Amino acid sequence: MAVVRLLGGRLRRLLGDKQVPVRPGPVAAVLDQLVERGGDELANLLFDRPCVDGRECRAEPAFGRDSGWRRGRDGTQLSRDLRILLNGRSVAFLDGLDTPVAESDCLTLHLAGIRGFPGG
Amino acid sequence: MSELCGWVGTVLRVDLTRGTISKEPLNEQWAREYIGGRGVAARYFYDEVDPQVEALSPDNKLIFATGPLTGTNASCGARYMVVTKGPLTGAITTSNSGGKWAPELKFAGYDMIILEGESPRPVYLWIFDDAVELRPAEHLWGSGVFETEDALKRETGLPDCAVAAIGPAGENQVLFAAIVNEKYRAAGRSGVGAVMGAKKLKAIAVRGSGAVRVADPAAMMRAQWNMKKELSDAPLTSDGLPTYGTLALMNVINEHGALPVNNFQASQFDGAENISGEHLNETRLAANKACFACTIACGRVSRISDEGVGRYAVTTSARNWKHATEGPEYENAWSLGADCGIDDFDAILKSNLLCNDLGLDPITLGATIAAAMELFENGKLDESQTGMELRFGNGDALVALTEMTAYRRGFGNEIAEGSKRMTAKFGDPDLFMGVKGQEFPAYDPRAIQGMGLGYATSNRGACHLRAYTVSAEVVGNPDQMDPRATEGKAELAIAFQNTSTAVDATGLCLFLTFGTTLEGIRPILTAATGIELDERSMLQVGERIWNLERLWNNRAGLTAADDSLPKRMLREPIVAGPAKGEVNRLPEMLPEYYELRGWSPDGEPSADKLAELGID
Repeated sequence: MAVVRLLGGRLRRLLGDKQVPVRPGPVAAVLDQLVERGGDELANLLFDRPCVDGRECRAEPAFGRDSGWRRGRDGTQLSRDLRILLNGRSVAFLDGLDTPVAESDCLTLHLAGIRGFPGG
Repeated sequence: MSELCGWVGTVLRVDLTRGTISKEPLNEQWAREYIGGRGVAARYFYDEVDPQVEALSPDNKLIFATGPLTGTNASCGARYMVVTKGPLTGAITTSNSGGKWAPELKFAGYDMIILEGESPRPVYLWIFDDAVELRPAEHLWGSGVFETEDALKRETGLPDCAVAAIGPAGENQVLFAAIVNEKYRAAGRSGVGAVMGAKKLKAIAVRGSGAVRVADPAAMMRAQWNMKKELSDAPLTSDGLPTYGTLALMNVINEHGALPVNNFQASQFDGAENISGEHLNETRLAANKACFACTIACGRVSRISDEGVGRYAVTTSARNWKHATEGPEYENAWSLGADCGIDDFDAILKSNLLCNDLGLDPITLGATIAAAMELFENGKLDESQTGMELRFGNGDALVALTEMTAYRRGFGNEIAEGSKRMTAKFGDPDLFMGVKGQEFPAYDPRAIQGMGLGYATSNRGACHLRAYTVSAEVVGNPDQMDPRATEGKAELAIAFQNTSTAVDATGLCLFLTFGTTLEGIRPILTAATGIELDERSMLQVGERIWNLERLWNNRAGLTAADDSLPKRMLREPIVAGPAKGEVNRLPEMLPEYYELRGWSPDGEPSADKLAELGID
């Protein structure tokens, strides 16, 4: 089994522990396994929600380029506040939601969205 | 100056040598060009202080400066900046604190205090509106910050006054002594407390009965309302910081393999969970706490366990019974914890408590003890010199050395010099982990490339608050920049430096930028001051201040050679973890940084750049 390590109280509360075992597979499939356990409240945290109170979401980053890694093949869109690491490396720099998670791998999830940004 | 809004228009000038106090109008042109706080204070400092001055001599000046939004109803408008030449670094230093001290100064009618000379005997400055006087402080000399604050509240008869004080560390001119207000808020870095101690100024107590006039109160309320909505929309300012404080970062940075351990010998800590925000909440958190007008409330009120109180007794018994404390911030939990290989939260909390009471910067303290631990384990130091088994993981040694350092007792007298001087004295200067004499904060620049550039180019020595590229490289919005890449990091570091500097000038807290942007701050600044500044103009103010500080440092003798990183960061790859094999590639980023700054290849601002910014 692989393991998903959860940072922050909200994710830990919804999934009942600091880390949970998961079956290997692509990141998208691992997230599906988590949603099966955590239900709609977890799904709402992991997947996109509309911008609030009329504040425009930035379409493109001020620095770097949006690789589109948050978009799944089925059209789902990950929350912009969600960060996913595979063995400490952001999957944004691997194969996004298609990144394979193997036996003994560690996937880390945390919610750390920042709205402010210099020049943004 | 009576037309000014936001600014209250008066500067207090205190000659400690002569014991005289005068009031003068704030330089309005400088207020427009540099906004306030760090900016206006740096402009006065540039104009009045010879860069070759000895930091602890009477000729150095010590400036306390607020911004035009300090003391207004703007979210997080509670900050003041202490500007002086730092004894730890030899560079201009700008050290910031919150709480309610700065609003009280504005309510009393002053934007800034400029302290000159050196008092022949210990004094404190008492400010109550128009009444300002220097009072004897011999009876307070030797007292901790907590005792000093309590005594001054009794002595002035005004328990609501705010007190900024030094502890024994400042009196003993420990090179990283802090100035602490409301017992737990500190202008911590670079030794501003040592400068205050050298001037024999124990404290500044202030109470004001006035208010800060704003240009357009209705627009101010609208702008503030919009900002509050932005802060409540952003996960970090609405949830992450209120729930965990800055300690939310401990597990995050550790997971990225960027948490320095044992004086940067490793970058992942097995004990990180034990000193994390999650663990603090489960075991030791009592309450949240906020500064004046803050809608985030990242402050922690925590408690040392019964067992910890018993174990970590210190020689000054008055401090031993205390369970309740505040913090620790992430940086402090790292420096006193992971960097020293310590995962005992009680030892960290006790050391952090002592840092506040004795007036020490916990980042430099922990980092210097970590360097001493490496010297000890390498055989460069032994127990006959240290008086203790100074090995990584020794919480008892951490607590004991905290107190010994403030009083310069035993080996604490070596720690009191900071790690650059201490490692050089004991034969291994390469074990100093910092820039310009100041120790790194809690991010390994080999794992986060942009932080290396930010550290190297920071005007006050290694600092996380000048270019917090972690925002983009680790927890970025809306998409992450690759922390391992160097491409684009020069532009990124400059953007953060200019933005952070502009925010510092307003009197707002930098944490606001976790929830909003300069564009979000701009309407509040305009409503308060009546001066229209677009986002580009605000960034240019930040750039102007940055260049002014740089120019002063160049004249103090700092050069491009000081924009560097220790050999360990540049040549010794991380040995394990997610960033295994990485070094910081500063040479790939620094030339581009200079070029984008409009500086020469030697790191000096060009005449054209200075002219563009209106710096003469």
